[in-house]
Amino acid sequence: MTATEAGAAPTTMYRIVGKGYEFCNCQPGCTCNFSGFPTSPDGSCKALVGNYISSGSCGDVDLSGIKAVAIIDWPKAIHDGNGRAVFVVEPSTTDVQIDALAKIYTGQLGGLPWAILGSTYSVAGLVKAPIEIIDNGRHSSVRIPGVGEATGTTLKNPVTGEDNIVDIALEHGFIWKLGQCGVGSFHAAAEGIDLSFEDSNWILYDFDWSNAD
Amino acid sequence: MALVGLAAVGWAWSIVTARQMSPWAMGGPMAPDSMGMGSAAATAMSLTGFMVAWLAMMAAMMLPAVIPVVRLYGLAAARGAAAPVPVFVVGYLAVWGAVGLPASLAWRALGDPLANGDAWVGYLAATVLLAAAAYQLTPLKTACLRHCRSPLSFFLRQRGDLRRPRTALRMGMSHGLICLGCCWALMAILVTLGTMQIGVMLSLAALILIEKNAPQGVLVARAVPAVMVALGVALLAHPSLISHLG
Repeated sequence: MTATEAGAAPTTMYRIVGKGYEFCNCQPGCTCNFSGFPTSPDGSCKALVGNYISSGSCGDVDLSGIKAVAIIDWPKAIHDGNGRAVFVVEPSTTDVQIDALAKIYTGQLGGLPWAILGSTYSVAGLVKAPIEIIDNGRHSSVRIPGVGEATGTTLKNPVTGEDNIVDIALEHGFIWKLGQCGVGSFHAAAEGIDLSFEDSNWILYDFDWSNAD
Repeated sequence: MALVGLAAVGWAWSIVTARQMSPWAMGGPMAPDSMGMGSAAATAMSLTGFMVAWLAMMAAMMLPAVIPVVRLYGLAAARGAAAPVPVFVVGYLAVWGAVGLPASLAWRALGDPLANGDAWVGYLAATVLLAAAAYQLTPLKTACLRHCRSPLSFFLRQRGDLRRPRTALRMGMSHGLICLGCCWALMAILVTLGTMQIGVMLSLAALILIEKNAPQGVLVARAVPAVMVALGVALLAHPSLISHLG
């Protein structure tokens, strides 16, 4: 490799579009969107995030149809860093695809939000396991046999028990612009990370991420 | 931390400048010079001198507040996922530097009258204090404050490749604009009370730090208008009080 300046070397362009299934241990709504500090009992942020990439590519590597799950444990707020992450991909994912995904999600190829988010955690491990995503709006589930499971449902009005349909619309959001909120439960154990939460944050969203400027 | 160091330099510079400039610190208002162009201090400091002092003051007041954002950005820069931290910080300070231009005009106009305790300056400061108090309670302020309090959510609302210096600079400026949205009224208070007053600088810097970073910051932002209104009303009743503030 020639000694070119960082930024002058050609960057592999990527774009991934799909659906995100986000479960974390804070109060429903994920306060990172509001006051900026976790509202979990211990001030930590622990999450299970499933991504179904309906279409996407990184350079000339096709990423369409891939399902990936990240299980991340941040000791405090995400912006304080020091998170540990385990990634799960299906056995059918090729090494070339895994390499592309790793570069995207750890921020090595730039682009937001992963340039920032990817810097807040280190990857503790990669697991290959079947990933089942039951896409049913706010009642979706993500199941990873041998690793864990996350199930979401609608928020309920605490008085009448009726469904409380709440969306978070971030006009300038970049992880997502419209998140459909619910309440979820999840548990997952892999590579030294063991998480289990009930009745906490669950948000379904569409994503469209790229490192184009 | 480099930011704390920079801020410290800013404070040191501001304190020295304030001492040099303050006519009444030297034992009483100075007599107007024979050409009637205002106090020696005002004419002695050129626009460049003011801009340098202003930038030092802004660095002193604002850099401590942006430490969490810069720290998060720094995590990415350390791994080469973003342009070096100074690029982002320069973009941020550029916004506050630009504010220095109108501030310099106000400073020139207010210098002498402030030293003399002219009534109209007292009324002006009172008006600004009352307007600032009102602004603290507006939805715009709340929106700006919400954006600036969450380092993560700031970046989640941006788009682009941070490794490109141009993008990093732009993002620093975006954050500067958000800070401006939160703090413009506080800076206006600073200018109308005499710009280089260390006491006022310290109070405002502390308020900004708390609003942006403390868990109770939003509550403090809502409560502080009471102090502003009290000061404003006091100035309306006794405008000459202004020469004793700071």
